[in-house]
Amino acid sequence: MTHRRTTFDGAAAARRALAVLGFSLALATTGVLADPASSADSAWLPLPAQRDAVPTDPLEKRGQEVFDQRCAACHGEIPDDVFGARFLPPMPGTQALEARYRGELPAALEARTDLTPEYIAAVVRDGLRSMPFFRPTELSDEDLAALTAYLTRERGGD
Amino acid sequence: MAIPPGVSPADFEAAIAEFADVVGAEWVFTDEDTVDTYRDAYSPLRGEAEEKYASAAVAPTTVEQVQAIVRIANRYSIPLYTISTGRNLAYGGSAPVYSGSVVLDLKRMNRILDVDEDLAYALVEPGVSYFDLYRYLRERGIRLWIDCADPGWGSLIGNALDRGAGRTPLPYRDHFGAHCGMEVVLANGDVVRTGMGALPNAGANWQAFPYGAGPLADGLFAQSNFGIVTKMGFWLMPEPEASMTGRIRARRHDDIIPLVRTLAHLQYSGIVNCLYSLNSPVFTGPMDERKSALLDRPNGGSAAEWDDYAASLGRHFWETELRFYGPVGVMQAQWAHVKERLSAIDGIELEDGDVIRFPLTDDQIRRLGDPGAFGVPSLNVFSSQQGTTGHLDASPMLPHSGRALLEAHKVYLREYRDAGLPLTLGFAMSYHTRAFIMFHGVTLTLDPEENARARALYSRLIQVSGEHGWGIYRAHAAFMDELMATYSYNDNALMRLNETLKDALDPNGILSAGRYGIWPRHLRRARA
Repeated sequence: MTHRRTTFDGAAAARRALAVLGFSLALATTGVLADPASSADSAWLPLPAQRDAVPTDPLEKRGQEVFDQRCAACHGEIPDDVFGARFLPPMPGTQALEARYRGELPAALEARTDLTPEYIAAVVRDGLRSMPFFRPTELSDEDLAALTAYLTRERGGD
Repeated sequence: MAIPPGVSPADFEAAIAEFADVVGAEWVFTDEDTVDTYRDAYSPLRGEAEEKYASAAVAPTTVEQVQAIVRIANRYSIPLYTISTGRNLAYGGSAPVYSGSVVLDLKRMNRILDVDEDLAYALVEPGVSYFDLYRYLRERGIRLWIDCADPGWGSLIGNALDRGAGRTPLPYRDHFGAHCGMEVVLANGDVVRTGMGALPNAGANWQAFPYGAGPLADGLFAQSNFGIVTKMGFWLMPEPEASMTGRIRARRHDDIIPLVRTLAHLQYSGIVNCLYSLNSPVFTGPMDERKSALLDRPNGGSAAEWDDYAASLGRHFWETELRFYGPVGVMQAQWAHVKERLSAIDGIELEDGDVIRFPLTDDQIRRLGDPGAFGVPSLNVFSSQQGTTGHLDASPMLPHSGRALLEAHKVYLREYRDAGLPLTLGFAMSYHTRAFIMFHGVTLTLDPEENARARALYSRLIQVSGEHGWGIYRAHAAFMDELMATYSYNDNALMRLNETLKDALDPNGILSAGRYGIWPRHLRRARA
């Protein structure tokens, strides 16, 4: 068995991004969401997520659910205070991005407006630093497409 | 498409087509991008020629599909590598030990088959994560706790089979120890149920009595490659009324000897039942010239020399925190007894902690500072490796002996110092009934030179631990041969037994070649 690529491969990322975009278009036109590898029953959160605002677009709405099920345990908002003794800080992804960007970009992914579908797909499938990558049995290509639609959606100014 | 070594392209193609007939083409992965998601995200060999890769992956949903897959693999001599959720990061993750294996990904076998509230057990499939079972119980108002591995996305079965542990009371936190009953698909496709499960009408007794009659087979399927576990029962703890803590600080180097002796007997008596972590702010603090010189003194420095050093830092030598679970009156009596017993140690500080009552509200759960202590899954453990690209865990086992802890601290401090790497973790935790795990982390990066140093240190930790009889209990996949070579009593009699079993149970060597140093005959190398 030969040794294969090990660092970020632009061509592979582009292939992947095209596949994701293809799914986005297909889903956007049909409005059908495939049976997800990620589901409410398999969410990586101890409790159902609480949401004040839910996107109206079905793909973005599904993307928000995928975020809650697969991303929020690391990339959610850091709670204002903790209950009981503190062992390890919560939200390792948000903590890591806070340390990395030092306020230049929001640490919480949902507050970012600069993410592209290509970048999100590359990080999800290739991993980044201590964030491992995720397989289709954990996060399907359809759900990845929904996630990227959600994180890159148009947002009104405030 | 990558192909397993020794398999012809035609045979591999035929096997892949037959796998697709079994599970559906969409659940057989052969494209490079997807197969790459079965790499080890925390590989110490990242980017190097020796990094382990899968050739393909197949993801069944039923036991019958697993049986069909092993029969196909036998027919074409395809090496399989089984994962549950593949999240055993720091120990090899989803990557095979033998490059070119087809990963058998059981993540989609994610059914919670049975939860009995009265008998307090759950029967689950390999793809069920700690989050899954926690949510199942919480949503149904079932007042049973689970015990989680630190990363809550892990599999109950996968973690138990690697003999992982969690943070609630014993016996629950010893995940293999708290299981009761298995279902296993053997390499020939046969399905076996262990313990009472071999009785055709066992019912709930499968999860009530682990032994059944005859040899207890369960141990053969942990840290091995003798079968594919498709179901496991786990005992669950009834939710306690409350939990409270008590903090302990001891000033001197030698205080650890009576401290451990007392805590051990309290543990063996059932008065202390929590996971506690014995930390030394002196040993685990930063390395400096004086500390380094002390380590080079005869026997690693005397107690008096270390006490002088601790005084110069203004630090106490040892600290720990006990946690109690149960009715408030019982916990208060337990803690009062602990304080009475430990007060014999001169200068010991004993401080009452807070009481938390259960059940927790949703808001409390969302803000929990230490979810694992209450059986609540999280991913907070990843906060411990900010700025790295992963780590390895080296976990020697020590008896409950203060003298052993003192010696081990000095031995491992010297190893890290000599490797030019900062000590990571390095405290002793009471995960098991009669032994400490002394956790050591080895940080990985993207730099092959730094990773080579990390690997050299890891190898040293395996060797040194073996030499002192503190053998490491669980190793990263890249080091399983080295680890098992330290368990060498009587000319490697244990490994010879493992190989005899392997040849009998899996003559074609299709299951997880190389796992815990057990190789099928055709891949076995002569031992030095």
